[in-house]
Amino acid sequence: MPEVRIIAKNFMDMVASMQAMKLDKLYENGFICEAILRSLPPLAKKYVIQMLHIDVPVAAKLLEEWVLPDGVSKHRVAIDRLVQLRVFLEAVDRKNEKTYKVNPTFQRSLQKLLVQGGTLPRESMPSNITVRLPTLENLEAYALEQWECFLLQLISPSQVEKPLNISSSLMKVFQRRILSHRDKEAPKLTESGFQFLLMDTNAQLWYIIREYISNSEERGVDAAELISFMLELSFHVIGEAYSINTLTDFQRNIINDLADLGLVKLQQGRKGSWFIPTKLATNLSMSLSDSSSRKQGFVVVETNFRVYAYSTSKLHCEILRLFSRVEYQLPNLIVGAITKESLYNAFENGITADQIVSFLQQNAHPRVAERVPSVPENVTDQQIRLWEADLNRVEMTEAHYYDEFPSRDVFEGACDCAREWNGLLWEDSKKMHMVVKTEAHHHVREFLRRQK
Amino acid sequence: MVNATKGVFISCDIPMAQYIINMNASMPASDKFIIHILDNTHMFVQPHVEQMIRSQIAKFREDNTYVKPN
Amino acid sequence: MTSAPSKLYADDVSLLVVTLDTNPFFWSTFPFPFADFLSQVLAFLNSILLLGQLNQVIVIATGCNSCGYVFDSTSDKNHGSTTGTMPALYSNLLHNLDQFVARDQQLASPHTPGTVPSSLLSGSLSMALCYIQRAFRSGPMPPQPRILCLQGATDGPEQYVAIMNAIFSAQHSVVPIDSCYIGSNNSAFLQQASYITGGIYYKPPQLDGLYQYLSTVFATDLHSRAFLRLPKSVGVDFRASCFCHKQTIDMGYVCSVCLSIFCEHHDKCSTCGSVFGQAQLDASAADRKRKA
Repeated sequence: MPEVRIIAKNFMDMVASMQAMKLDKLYENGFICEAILRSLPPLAKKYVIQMLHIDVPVAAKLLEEWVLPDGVSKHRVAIDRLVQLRVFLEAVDRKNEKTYKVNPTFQRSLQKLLVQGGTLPRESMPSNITVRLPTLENLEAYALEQWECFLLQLISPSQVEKPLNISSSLMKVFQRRILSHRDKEAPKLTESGFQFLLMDTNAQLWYIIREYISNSEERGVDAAELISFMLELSFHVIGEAYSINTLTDFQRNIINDLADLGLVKLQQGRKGSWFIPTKLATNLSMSLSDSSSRKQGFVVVETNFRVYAYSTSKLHCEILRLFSRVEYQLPNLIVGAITKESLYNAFENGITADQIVSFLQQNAHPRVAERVPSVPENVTDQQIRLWEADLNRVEMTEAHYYDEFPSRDVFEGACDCAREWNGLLWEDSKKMHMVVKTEAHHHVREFLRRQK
Repeated sequence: MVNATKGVFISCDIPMAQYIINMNASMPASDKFIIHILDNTHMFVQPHVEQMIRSQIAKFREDNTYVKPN
Repeated sequence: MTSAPSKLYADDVSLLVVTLDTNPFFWSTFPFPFADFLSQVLAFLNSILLLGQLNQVIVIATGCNSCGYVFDSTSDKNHGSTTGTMPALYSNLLHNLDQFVARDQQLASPHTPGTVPSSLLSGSLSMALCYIQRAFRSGPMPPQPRILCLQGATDGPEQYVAIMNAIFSAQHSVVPIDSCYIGSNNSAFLQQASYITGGIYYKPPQLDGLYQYLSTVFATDLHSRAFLRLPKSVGVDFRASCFCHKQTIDMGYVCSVCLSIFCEHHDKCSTCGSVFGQAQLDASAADRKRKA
């Protein structure tokens, strides 16, 4: 069964795919540089800080000397990412050797940020105007509630009591890959939809924002401006009120959409209206590797395969139904069991054992989270993974069987050719037979034709 | 001249391989699908038998699964 | 003694506690001005905070007679408006530092003329470790803590016991102590600290480029240290100080019970109370008995 994985990319990958000139223009904004810096892998961050005040190109070989043998692959990944985002500019010096230099616009913005600090384009409103400001806990509860309501509306609109203001066309955009709309049938979750539900909140947030940005691009809105406003928003202070009057019309529209998702809270007073950024907004500039799982979990899995989820959320109930048999619901508790049938059901829907296990681990209740392992290994390794492996005992690949080679040289050559195209499945050098994937068959046939 | 045969490459564990070989042996001569047995964990079979093999394996699995009588 | 292994961390969220040497006697005679030193350190601290939303920086000032917290990046006071020419971080820190130095001066006790009184490193190390212990208990996934000592004054042998205790405590909690020593010779205490706890000891050759040394060597988070080439310690000075006179010694007497070090013969160990010389007396008594 082919697996379709939603790769939880943050919108830094979108930024990376922008044209060079647009990217350089984005880097004039110090906050964007900071957000991009924070999204880099740790080694890349280090390199930027080290090279920040160096004006001359540095030889690639010199950079490689900074790394121990263990870190060579991480070094490659870091450099590739830096070049992809145009933070490092690659060049060739007179000796024909590769050199790297920090993008001058990026460098200037970041240096300025270091020495002078960043100033937001707007100040928070004085407290005599902002009345009834929510406390930080209320704000977080509000954000969570909005986000869950949005997710529930996304996957099963019938269950929502108070639907949000999001236009149905925008909802359809979000549902594009998550639900499959078939005529006369109720929309069903696709494989990607299941995987989406099991991702953690940050990954889900970026997926939605990514879809939002691509949809805006289709409507003719400048993605660069949108991204730059969102990143700027992520540097505002949680819980502080900022006047709506400081926003352009374009930004006002975006704020309205974001309010529906729970990223900001809109409030109106007698003297004006304002928006308050929530934790979801400030999480926009967090990198994927940052502790997204620092929120409190709610699931306890016992060694007898019973699952106890201390939650009242309908969304959590839906998610648990994906892979476990929910038996009953109490006022603050959902009780279920992980059974073979429920897991087979999940596997058939395209969910992998790893996704289920990591969902359980990331959402482990604080009482069991300290325990190592937080989910009993007889459930994870010895059952969930085993059942998945049991379903996939046989691997079948469409292929071609080659024999009757005229000479060993031709055989070796054909083997190498197949290997190059990643298609060599099996070979027997004594008998000079080999099996090649059908995708690579065409190339091997060409090679053999050229041998004649 | 090099000969190329189209088919399906199967990779599995040893007991599964034996099951498939046994399944093949019990088929009438016109329906036998194994072209080559490569080693004790790999074989090469006719195309279009994938679904049949999978459903037989699923049935085999069901037969060997204990279900508590209600 | 093998140095402590560092824990394996998956991400690079750091909690950096910096102990800043503010010893006025040292700085008044040092060729490099304190203001320039401080501006480079501040830029370095800012770059640590820049690298991640969850990174935390704490600064503890090490005076001659006292130590105190002068900056905590997690406190709410940092969200004040910027003055336009420098971020809130700077103005806060500088203000607190001024107050601290004034207070420290008032606590001054007379010292022997001609010598530079040492900085209270043991005090600031202890404060740093206390803060880190509190951070460990703060939540499910605390950031990776490390200590950076920015030191210039020479070691005070009278602090030997306290500093060694702090070092072993850091080793036990797996908290690396990095040292950036800018004084003339090397600091034996800091070399030992970095060696035992698995940190980095480095003496920047040129203070004009201090920021570059700080960002290249000391900005490395604990996760990346496994992959980068960093300065290795060459020749750690393991000399101890005696417990009775607090002077550095090469050879001395060691209590076999608690391993305290003395420079001259004592009857009783001052740390654990065990009586010395008992076995010798018994042995000679036994000999005399046999001979009789």
